[in-house]
Amino acid sequence: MKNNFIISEEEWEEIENFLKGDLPQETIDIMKKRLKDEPAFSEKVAHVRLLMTGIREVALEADLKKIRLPHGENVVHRIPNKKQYYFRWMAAAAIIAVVSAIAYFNVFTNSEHRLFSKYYFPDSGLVSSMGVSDNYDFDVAMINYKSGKYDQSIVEMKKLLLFNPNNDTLNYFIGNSFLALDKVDSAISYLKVVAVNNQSAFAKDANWYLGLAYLKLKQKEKAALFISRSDNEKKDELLKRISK
Amino acid sequence: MTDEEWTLMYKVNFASIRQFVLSNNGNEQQAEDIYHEAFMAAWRNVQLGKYEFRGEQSLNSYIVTIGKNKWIDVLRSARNKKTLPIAMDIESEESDDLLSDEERDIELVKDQFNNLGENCKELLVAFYYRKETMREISAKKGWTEATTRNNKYRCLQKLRELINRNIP
Repeated sequence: MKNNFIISEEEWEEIENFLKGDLPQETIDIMKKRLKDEPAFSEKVAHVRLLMTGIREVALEADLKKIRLPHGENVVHRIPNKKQYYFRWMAAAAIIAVVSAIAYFNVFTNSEHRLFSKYYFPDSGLVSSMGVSDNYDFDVAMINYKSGKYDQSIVEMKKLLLFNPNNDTLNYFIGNSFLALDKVDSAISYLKVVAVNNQSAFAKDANWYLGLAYLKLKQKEKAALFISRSDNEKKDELLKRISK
Repeated sequence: MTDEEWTLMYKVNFASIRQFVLSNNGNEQQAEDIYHEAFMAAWRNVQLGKYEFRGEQSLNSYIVTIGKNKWIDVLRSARNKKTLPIAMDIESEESDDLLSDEERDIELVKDQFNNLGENCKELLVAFYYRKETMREISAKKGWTEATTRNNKYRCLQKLRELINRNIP
């Protein structure tokens, strides 16, 4: 590792902010150009990134060590001892019977998909427009959304998003459209933008749908985290069922 | 994805790796170790831009693939490259235990970070990992923001000195 260059406090912070994306686009563009044109600067950026990554990795590992990984289910080995075949078949049949009973119970009570289906209702959409100059286009997209033409509404809203990349309304309804289409990963990426924006009127609802999206991915802990940040009237009821 | 979100997804893929390791001559501890290694390798590859994050479903598959490949490497090494007893249809994701220069450098940073004083460790973890702001850290420590900023820079310089002394 090359580590013999001097990086001032100001320069260090500027590089950090660049790596975190916490700079105005204009400054980011200047930094990107410097990265290309100045090998010494490029080395400094790589150095700061290594230190930041190393520090985060130590801390993450320490946190992960506190987590108890789930053990417990029996594992069926691929090459069983011949003498144990008969017993294993019987045991397997018994296990299948028990597992089926549990699965049946779960499917009809608290399985993630069941909970998702029970609690997920697409946002009903907006009546009025979002108050920017693209009102007409947005209204068309919203009509498509409310008619259940989610593919169409995504295409139209994404065009508007090009001019308003951080617009919470657009991100929220694109996320909701993806969720309605069962494209969960895409839904998450849009809903997250809104969920962390405390200034947004949609933040609480975005947290609710983000939680439901994670429920669909069977990630109960994350689902609970985001649902707890929502203000949906069924929040407590759902959290209780998730924790069972 | 934030580090908090990574932590929350830690338990998600363990069952797949555990099943694979236990079904192939491994024990519970080995399953945990391999899973932890795979998870951290995936995290690091995302940070270094070696794996492009394309959503959590793809990431889950990626972690499981790394874990299975790592366990196959363990078996191969244990059996001195004899033929494996089972058919393993693993995707061709890398499982290389050979560290790149960048990865070796990160290991060096991690080693030397542990040699810092507790105050520095706490400050750097709060800022870089827990994403606390200068204002939040200052309030906790009873420092001014300028002091916190200076202390952070000093701690980083200390870490760099330790690294310099230990560069192989």
